[in-house]
Amino acid sequence: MVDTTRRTMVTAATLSAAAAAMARPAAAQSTPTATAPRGGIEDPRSKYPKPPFPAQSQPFPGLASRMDPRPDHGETSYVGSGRLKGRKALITGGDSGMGRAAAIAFAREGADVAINYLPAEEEDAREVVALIRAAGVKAAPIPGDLRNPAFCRRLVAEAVNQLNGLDTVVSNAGHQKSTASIADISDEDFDWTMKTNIYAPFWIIKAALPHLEPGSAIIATTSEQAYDPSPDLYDYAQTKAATMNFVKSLAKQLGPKGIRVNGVAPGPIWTPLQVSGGASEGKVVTFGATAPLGRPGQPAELAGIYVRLAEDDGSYTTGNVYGAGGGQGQP
Amino acid sequence: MATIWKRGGWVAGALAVGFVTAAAAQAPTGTPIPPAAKDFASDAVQASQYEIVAAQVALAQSQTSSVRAFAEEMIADHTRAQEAMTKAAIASGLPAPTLAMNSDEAHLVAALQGVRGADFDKLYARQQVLAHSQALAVEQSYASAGADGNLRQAAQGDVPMIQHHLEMAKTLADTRG
Repeated sequence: MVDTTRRTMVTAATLSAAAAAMARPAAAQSTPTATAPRGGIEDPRSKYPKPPFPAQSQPFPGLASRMDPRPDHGETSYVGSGRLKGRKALITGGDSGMGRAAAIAFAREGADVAINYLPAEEEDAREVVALIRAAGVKAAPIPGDLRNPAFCRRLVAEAVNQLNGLDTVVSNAGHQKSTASIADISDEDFDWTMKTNIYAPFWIIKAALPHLEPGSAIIATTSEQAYDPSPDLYDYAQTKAATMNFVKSLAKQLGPKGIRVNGVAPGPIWTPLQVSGGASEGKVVTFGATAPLGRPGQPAELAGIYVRLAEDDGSYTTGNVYGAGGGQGQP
Repeated sequence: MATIWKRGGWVAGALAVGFVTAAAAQAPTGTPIPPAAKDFASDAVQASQYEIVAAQVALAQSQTSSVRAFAEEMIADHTRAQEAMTKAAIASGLPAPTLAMNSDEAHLVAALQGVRGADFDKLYARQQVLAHSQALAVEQSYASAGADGNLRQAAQGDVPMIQHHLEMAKTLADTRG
């Protein structure tokens, strides 16, 4: 199901070879080439860093570039093969975490990519823009706060304008703040989480819909939290349950229009969200220890899922949620 | 919190790992039945892994000096215990036990990760009393009647440590509870 075999360590030289292969005409793409390494097998327990991690915290929203260890978004490993050639994608939260992994993978699969992020995340975003452009496709960085409905509508308009169309929306940006007690969640905190995680996807998808032709794909990032909430994520977890749910209602609504809607449900993934207030101090240090694989997932390990849900080969998948939970959580 | 007892070292636990024999059924009430060598080594190493991970959460999350001192001791002692048990297992020709928690232990850690301040100290102390009570039962049973000599010796080394930890945990629970 998940295309993890595509993820192999490669050198920069191999990457440019792969990029060259990608630039070839579509006919050549159907023949497998040896330019991109494939297959192999690696122990999933030891493939990436394990807890304990150094105690760390960053002011919201946090930067991937300042995390220790640095998350892997597939920067040096993801090899594309033209699966999204000619596609035009908007990814919210594309500067870090799963959104960044999706942005890198989409670009290497041949899609033009617009990424949204907060102005404070510019440093991470710049790296992503450079990686997208290095793949030989168009990058459209569009910073702004998703809590503002007018900005959400402008974001879609600008993405359509800069990419000259839109056929893939990845609603991925999320706000998560660990608070032990409901008594300590202020109205403002609650509103922040709801606006970012529930209202923004509504505003963005609604604005994008007139531009989405049959064959388009909407992908939302939900979470294991939708099914098995942590006690300190009362507000965040319910937004992820809502996301899981809207994936299913919209799939029913938009199926007849030829637009697919799917979700991705990550388990504990090593992203800035966690070290900037999303997880308790102790959870950061022992992050992923509770998963049967004994470590957190890396964003790169989800890249193939986003590609799969976006690509045309996945044409019968709609209203579904694909997971990467490390053995814990659902679906 | 009750989950920890689901895999207790007593008869219920023995049932779960499939050691029930006619003889076992006749054992005096309350006498733990020692598990097979491989399962004992694995259980003991997992229990220590939970202790280490829980203590790491405590060090990141608690400001209380008695809790932190306890956690430091747990990491030091259980790392040593894990090493000794692994050595014993290898000496007996068993595979080295995996340094992982079982799912009940993972749930306990997840619960710790979700609380802070005084609530954290209270939950940690309570978990420690339960976890060490359980570990003591398992280790005592193997120390007295386990089949494998190397593991029995390791268990005999663990018992006084766990007794000491249990006493400390009880004191902690009394003061933080």
